[in-house]
Amino acid sequence: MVGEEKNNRVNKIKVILILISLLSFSLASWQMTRKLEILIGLEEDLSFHFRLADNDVVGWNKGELIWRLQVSNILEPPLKDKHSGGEELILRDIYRGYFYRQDEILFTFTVEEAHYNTRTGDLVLYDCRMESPLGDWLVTDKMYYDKKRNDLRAPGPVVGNMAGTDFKADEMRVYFDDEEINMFNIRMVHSLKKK
Amino acid sequence: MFPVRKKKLSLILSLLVLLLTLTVLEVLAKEEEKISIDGDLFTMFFNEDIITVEKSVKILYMDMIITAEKAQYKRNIEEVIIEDNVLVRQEDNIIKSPYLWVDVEEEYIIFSGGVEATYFYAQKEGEEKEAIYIWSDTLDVWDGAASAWAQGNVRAIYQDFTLTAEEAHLDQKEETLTMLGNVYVEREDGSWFSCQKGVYDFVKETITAYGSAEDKVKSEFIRPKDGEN
Repeated sequence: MVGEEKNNRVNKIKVILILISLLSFSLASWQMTRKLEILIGLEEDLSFHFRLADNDVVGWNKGELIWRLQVSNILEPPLKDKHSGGEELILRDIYRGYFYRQDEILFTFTVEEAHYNTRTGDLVLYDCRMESPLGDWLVTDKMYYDKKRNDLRAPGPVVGNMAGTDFKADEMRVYFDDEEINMFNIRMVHSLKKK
Repeated sequence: MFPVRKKKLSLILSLLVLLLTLTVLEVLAKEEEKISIDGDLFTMFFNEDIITVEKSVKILYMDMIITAEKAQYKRNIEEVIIEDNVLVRQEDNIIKSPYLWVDVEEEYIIFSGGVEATYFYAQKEGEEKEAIYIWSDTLDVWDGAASAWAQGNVRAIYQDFTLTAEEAHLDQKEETLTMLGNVYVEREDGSWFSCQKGVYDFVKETITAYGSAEDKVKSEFIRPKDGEN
């Protein structure tokens, strides 16, 4: 009887120890994840999420999904951004990106490279080609997504085609809150069917 | 035998080349027709079909240069609504109005809101062109801008004639100005006539007045004083 009681006690202790080790492991894992999130600056108001599992970088603003970048495999180590004081992730090997409005795709885009500032939540896209679901497209050298203003700006020349109309503009701005697209100093040429 | 075959073959080849050239030329000619729209500010809202171009708007359409402050159209540019200080230049001709509607595919244009049109016409080639001023409530332009139909409170000035009517049709191909409805024509010397239809022929330099059983042509001519033409 005494031996059986002793065995039960030992088993109980074993179970408790296993539970404690499991708890410690979970806590350690959580701490590690937290450390990683802190490392890439994602602890800030959870407005941006970084999902390592499916190689997606996702941008949120005011609870709304704004952009998503599908990065195929490389995520360069964070660099200190002298200007913002934050860290800049250099994203390469991006095979597709999306801008959204009310969970619907507004534009899809391809870029050569993207820089994501972990502190400000801003995104810079280089050598972009954007396409709308209607088949409109444009190309430009550089585009900035400003999280604070919630707008996307292409400061350089923008060239594209919209519903069969070729266009060239000096600058383009997309205001997500106002749901408005502006282009400045634009020239559009539309070919007509000859009668 | 062979030279004859060769000749036939070369003839067929030449014809094929000619056909191909003609097709290419036709395609190129078809691509030539364009409308271009320039402006300082382009605005489009998400999920909307309307595009607005504002500030220093310049549109090149057919052989016309249209300037205005605002233009609106749908994505496919089937029609364009142009507003604010609309000015259209076509060669020497100038048309001003507050509002302009363009059916791009049909090549039909309607000016409205009080139109002021100035057409220039030379009786013979090389001669100095003379202006025909036309004011009206609306002005429809079509046929490559060769035809213009002025409607409502039409008033026109050409040489020493002042013409008023309810409607007027300027046909630049036929070289006539046809006035309809309560037509009143007055010259600088005070001569006048009124009728229901009056046709001015720019080539013959004549005006033909038409009356009706109810409304006959009325006129008063001032005889030139001695020594005057």
